[in-house]
Amino acid sequence: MTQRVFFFLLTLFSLLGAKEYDTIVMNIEAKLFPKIAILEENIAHNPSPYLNIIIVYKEPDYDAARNFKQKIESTYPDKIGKKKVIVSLTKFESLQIANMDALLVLSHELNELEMIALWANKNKIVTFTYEPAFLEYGFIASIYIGKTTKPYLNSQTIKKYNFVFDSYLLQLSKFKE
Amino acid sequence: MIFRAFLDKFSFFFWLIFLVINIPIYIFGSIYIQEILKKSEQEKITLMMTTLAPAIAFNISFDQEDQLSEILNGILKYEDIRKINLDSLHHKKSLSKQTDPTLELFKYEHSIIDPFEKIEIAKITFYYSNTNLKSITQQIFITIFFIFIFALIVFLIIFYSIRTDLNALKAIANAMKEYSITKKMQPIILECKSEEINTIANVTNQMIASISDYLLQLKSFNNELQEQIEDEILKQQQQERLMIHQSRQAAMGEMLESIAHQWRQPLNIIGLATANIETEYKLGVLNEKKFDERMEIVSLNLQHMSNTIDDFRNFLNPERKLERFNPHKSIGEILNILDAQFNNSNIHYELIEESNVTFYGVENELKQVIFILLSNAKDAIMLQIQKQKISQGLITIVTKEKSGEGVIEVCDNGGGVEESILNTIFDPYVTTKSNANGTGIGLYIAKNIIESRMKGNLCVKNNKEGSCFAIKISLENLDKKENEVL
Repeated sequence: MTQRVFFFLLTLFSLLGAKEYDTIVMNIEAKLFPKIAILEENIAHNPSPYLNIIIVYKEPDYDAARNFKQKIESTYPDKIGKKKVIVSLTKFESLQIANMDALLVLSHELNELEMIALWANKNKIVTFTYEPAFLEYGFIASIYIGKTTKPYLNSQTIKKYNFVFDSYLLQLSKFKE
Repeated sequence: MIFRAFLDKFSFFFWLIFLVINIPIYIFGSIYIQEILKKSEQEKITLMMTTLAPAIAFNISFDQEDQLSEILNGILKYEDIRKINLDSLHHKKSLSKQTDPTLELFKYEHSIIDPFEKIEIAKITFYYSNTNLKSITQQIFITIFFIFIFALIVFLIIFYSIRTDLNALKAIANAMKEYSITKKMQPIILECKSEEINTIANVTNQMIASISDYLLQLKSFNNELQEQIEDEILKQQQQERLMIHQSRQAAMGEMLESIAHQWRQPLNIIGLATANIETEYKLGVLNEKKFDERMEIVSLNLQHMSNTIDDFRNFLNPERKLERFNPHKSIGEILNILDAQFNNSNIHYELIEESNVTFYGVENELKQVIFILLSNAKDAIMLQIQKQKISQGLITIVTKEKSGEGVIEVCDNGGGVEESILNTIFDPYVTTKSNANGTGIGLYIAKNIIESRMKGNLCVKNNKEGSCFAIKISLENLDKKENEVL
């Protein structure tokens, strides 16, 4: 019976395109992503008092997106550095460039991922992905979970689109070659 | 030899320089180096922490436990850092290494500031020792010691290599020190390989030999010169004697003229007296009384003539007898001789004795001087009378004492000496008279007699009417003069 239920659910989720999100990983990412974002030179030097993080989601990932929003907001209730963190949720289809510093993409549509990464990079928007493996689609940062957990940066994209991060961040991060 | 090397004069300077350099280094090292190094150590740790603090802060902020440990372990590898404590909200770490418990530890605290929130998120504390510092100080002193040893070895090597040359130089220096032109010196012989020092020795020997030759030559020149001087002095003396003789001859000539004048009157009187005797005898009127009267006249005049001769004889007496005499009396005798001539030439004279003075010397020599001065005065006056500038001559002779000196002033109204020759009037062969009348040696002889023989002074000045000669002879130590051999 249990097996039946499991396979049912698996089939259901697969059909719906939903993905399971690990709470611990989400916690770490919610803590690290704003810090990584603010260590990017363009964002750091932007006189705006806000750090606008947009979470782009597909419908099946809405809960995860909301979860992420809550975690970030609870981690940084006031400010990070001199900027107030503002997290917004946006559907993939309604994504606009206005007031956007960083983008956390919660999608598993591979075609869309590459496209959105390219679009964000061209617009100098720091992109994060929950899945470290998705860095290969052109996203800038994720987290590396190994013996220790580290920021995981895409060195090729950083170089290609001239993103400049704080040297100390670079020192402690792992790079995807 | 080693002991000598340490005490040698040369080594003294070495030691002096060595101490002058090393003592300040040691004092400076003892007092300041440790302080400087301690400060430097502190600055090093501060710099290290200033550099590493952001990395530590980032690692704390990003929860990079392993990297944090890596950084802290890296810091602990630094020799002097003995213990590190990291105290933050989520991280408490304490790293240390084996440390001698007796070792003095210094504490250094540094705050770790969150790179985002800019608030203190941790405090890191270092405990460090000065082991490295002590080791550096030790190394410095060991280096100084080795430099000292090295310098000592270098000094000894230098000393041994140049000791022969130094000894040779010393020998030359000693020889030169003992050298005296009055002492015969042996040539310097050296056993030295240095070409330069041998050259110095050879040149020194040559110089000494040359100096000896020059000394011999100089001695010979001196002897020749001495002989020449003696010859010249002899000639000069002969010349002077000749001049004095000439002067005396001239004086004698003038004296004869004076005698002639002096005798003319008594001879006339005697002639008249004897002529009367003869006439009266022939007439038979010569009685005894008249004869006696005439003979008395003759006798008186002959006595007068005889006195005159005595005066001349005294004056011309060549004997140089040193004695005390009264110049006033001597001048009177000369005036007696010249009296007839003066009368004949319409010259009046006055002899004034303001003070009674006594001279010591040869009286005749002073008389000769007075005679010269009076003769010159007479000639000058006669010239003035001839030129009708004056109608009567006047010579004033004053003897007096002034400021411990016996002074004889002979002044006339003969017009004086020309200013152009006033300074050279006492030089030989200088005369104001015509060639026939003057030899130009009278005043030279006069000055010579006064200054050389009587140790006095003869000077001249012009007054309104003529010249005024002054003889000044010191009256002090007359007894002492009496004992001197002229």
